Amino acid sequence: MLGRAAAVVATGAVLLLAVPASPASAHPLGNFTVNHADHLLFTPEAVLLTAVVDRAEIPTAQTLQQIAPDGTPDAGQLASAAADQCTDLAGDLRLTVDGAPVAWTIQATGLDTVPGAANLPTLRLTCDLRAEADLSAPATVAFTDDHLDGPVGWREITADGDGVRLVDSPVPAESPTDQLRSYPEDLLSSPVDVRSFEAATEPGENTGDGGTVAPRSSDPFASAMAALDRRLQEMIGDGDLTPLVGGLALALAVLLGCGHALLPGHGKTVMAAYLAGRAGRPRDAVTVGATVTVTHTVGVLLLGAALSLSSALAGDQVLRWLGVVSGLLVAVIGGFMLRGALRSRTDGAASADRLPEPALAAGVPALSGVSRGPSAVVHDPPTLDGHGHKHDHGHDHGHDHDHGHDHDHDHGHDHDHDHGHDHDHGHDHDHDHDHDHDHDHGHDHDHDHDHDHGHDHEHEHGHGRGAWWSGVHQHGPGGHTHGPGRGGLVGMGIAGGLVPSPSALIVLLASIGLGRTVFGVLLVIAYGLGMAATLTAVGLALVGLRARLDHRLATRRAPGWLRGVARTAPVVTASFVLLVGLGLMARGVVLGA
Amino acid sequence: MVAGLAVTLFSISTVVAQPRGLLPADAPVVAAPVDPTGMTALQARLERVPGDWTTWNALGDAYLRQSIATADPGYYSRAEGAFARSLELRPEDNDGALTGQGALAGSRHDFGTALSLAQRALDINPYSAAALGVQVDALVELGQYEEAERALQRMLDVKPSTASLARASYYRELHGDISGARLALEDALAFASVESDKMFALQYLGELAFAHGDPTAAVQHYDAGLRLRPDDPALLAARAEARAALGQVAGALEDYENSVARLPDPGHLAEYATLLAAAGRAEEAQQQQQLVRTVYRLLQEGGSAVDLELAYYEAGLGNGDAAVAAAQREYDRRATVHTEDALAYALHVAGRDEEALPHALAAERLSSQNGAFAYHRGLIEAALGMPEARATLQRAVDINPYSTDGVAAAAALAAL
Repeated sequence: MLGRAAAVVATGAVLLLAVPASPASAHPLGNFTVNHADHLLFTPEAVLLTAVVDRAEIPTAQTLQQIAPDGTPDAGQLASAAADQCTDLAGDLRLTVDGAPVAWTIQATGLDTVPGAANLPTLRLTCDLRAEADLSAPATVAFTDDHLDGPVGWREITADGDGVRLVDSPVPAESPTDQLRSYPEDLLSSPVDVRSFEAATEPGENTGDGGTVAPRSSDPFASAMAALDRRLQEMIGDGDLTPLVGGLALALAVLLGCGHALLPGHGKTVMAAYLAGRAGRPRDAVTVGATVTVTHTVGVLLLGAALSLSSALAGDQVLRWLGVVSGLLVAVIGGFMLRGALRSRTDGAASADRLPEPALAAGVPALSGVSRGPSAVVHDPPTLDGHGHKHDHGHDHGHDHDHGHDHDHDHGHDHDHDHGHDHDHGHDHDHDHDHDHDHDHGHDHDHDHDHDHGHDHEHEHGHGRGAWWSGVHQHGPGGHTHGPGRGGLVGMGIAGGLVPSPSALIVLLASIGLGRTVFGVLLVIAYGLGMAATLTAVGLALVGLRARLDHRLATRRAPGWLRGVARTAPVVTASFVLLVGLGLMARGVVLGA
Repeated sequence: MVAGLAVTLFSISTVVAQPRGLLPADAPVVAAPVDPTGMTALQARLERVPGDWTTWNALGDAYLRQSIATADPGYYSRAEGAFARSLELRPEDNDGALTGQGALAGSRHDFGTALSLAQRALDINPYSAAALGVQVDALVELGQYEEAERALQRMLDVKPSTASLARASYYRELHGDISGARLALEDALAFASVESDKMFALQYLGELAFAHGDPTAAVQHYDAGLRLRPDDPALLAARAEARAALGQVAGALEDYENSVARLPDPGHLAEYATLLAAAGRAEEAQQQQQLVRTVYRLLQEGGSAVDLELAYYEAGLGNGDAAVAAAQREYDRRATVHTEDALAYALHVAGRDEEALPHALAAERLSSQNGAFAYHRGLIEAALGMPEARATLQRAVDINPYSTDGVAAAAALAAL
């Protein structure tokens, strides 16, 4: 008899919506939920479990029909229902110690009615269970709760130890809800839905708070960097931007740039090796530092602008691509180095005054860059050409429509709408919320500028490698004879700066999102300056080191093995640089696909 | 009729898409999938940049979609909080938050508020497909069908997508264009790029098929949807209804049982109770009926406008006065073809057929091919001794001989 209309309108959506309108409800999570809390206490001889099942009004009504068909259960009915329900529950909770399941025995049961919304009762079931287990020696425990897994609800597991220490427990020791009595309403955390956990135990006192403590990075430098990063993001994300806060944020950005340069990744350290190995001079170190800074700053600004303008551009894809390009550059330079080194070896005599290159010092961080680089998360590999197009595209749209159809359809489509909109409002609201961040805020001019840079950059290293630095090379005193010379330095600098620091990019995007584009650009430049300072300093130190070794080789009689190393080292280093470059490329292309 | 919920769900699924950037995986152009991981990235970002109002909007949208996917109301209240926070941070020119709040108001059946929020969002951004979706839904639910058509056309122009096509389907169905409605839904299915959108499209294809006399096709659509998410309560209940119509009572009862165990929707509970009673399990039917009352009481206590559902429910039980009271309350809020029908049927059950007739006629003013509308009108015409009753009841049977309304219409026809 009920029309379809009834079925259509009275749906879960309505049930959901009843929730926020009834703040006085005993179940802020909704009056049709079934909520679970399991608290485990590990002792050397047994595991004690207190399980609470909190049924909101509607499941209570469903359950009460079975307990007491007249709707008002007496104490005896509740007690026998509690025993039955705890038996069911014990069957659905599985605990293993070192893989072997242990059996529960029921210690105590209780079922209480608690008044809820609309004067309807709710049911609170408490079961105390015990499982004999020998935890006097280190063991691994695993727990799973499959009880009543159909209805939605809050599901928490907590675990503590008494005479047993939980090692790296993923769950907290204290119930966040006071055993389902008060549910936190933290906008930044999802409702808890934990149904299992696993942890190692050992005898001792459990002192930690369990899973509530955020895991710390084992690398103190990386954690310090992460902390600084968070601090900076807080600064730009909150409140008014006073000159003091702005200045502090800029200083922090410089510091973060220094840190980014020191963290392994993307051939920055290969570059340092190259610098030191190829008879570099202080001026070369400055060149590399400046190149890295310019490349990085331009790269971040370009990418930020592109991400802001185009909804079809995925940041991680671009990062991967830049990683590939960076690897290609490193590999090419490695190839030149190898050729030069092999030639020198053939020449023979030259090896006597050649310096052993710091292959290990350079190679280890470079390798770790291969394994830790953030660049490899993507799908279709665009070509270099394609990459250039993307930037062009964003640029074109800033000013005219003509070029839109040259490129891919997604772009064309999105931008058409956006464009009209931008004219109307001068800020971000396009039809396709995806781009909100980006549009508005009228930073078009900055972008234009960036894009010019991008153009030059792409074209130059795409087509005219020799042309743009040959002049510089000519003027360099000392007349280096090896490989690509200064071109190699600049290439290394580009390779080092090409993959933008994700944290700089996030800072830029956040600033754009908050309408502080100019400040965001300043922050990125500060990042680049920090990187440059660090890399230049490292480069200068290596140059100094080389000079000293050089001196030692020239003035004293070095042992034979040192001479042997000195002979083979250039080849090894060059091969190494080549391999690292190929590795960076392969990682980007293969792993990301 | 079928797509009332569809529209709400689709609208929510496209309120605010995820922001572009490095953190979350790249989202498709239609509705982005919301998985806990995506939310985690947004949450993590807001931990660091709590002033980023656009990400608050994205998070609100993610919560909203998650609350629909899981039926977990914990996400729902968080969505509300997230949109409120965004608006606090950016009170001006924040169409995303207004649209989100509009979608929330609509799903609470507060359509007037939804409409004004959508309008405010559109004043800021006339090209927002999401805001247009909220506006279309509110206009349809307020019975302003011509305005709804204009807004819908604009939405389709701005962004052809699962969301806009599903609304187009509903609009056509309301106007009796059943094959057009089916085509639009098939397009919506083709456009659907994420699981939840596919499921909704399949569910409403099934309901459309069932409402027009093809329970076998309906079951096939539901099965396809249940392959995507085997325990989805809405799909289970829908399949139960179609199975019951095909005589597969045991399977239907099982589907209902699984559905209401997961989500005790009052409409589904009532259908379950009816089927239990028909299967001779009177005591269990009685229990489910009690549950329906409990749920409605809670919903009303919680401030939800459930009078329309309540009116049908009371009328089905023969409680004419209670049905009229509920139907009248809803009708005073909005005069749609559905509230006209509910009021007509309630008045008929209360024995006030003279008053009922104009409402029954108004319910069919869009020429919807709706079996329930025709059946209720036929009942009223028969009670008034009008000769048209026979043709009207026959029409109800022809639209869908399998539904409870169609079966009842056939019985009424035989009794004439």
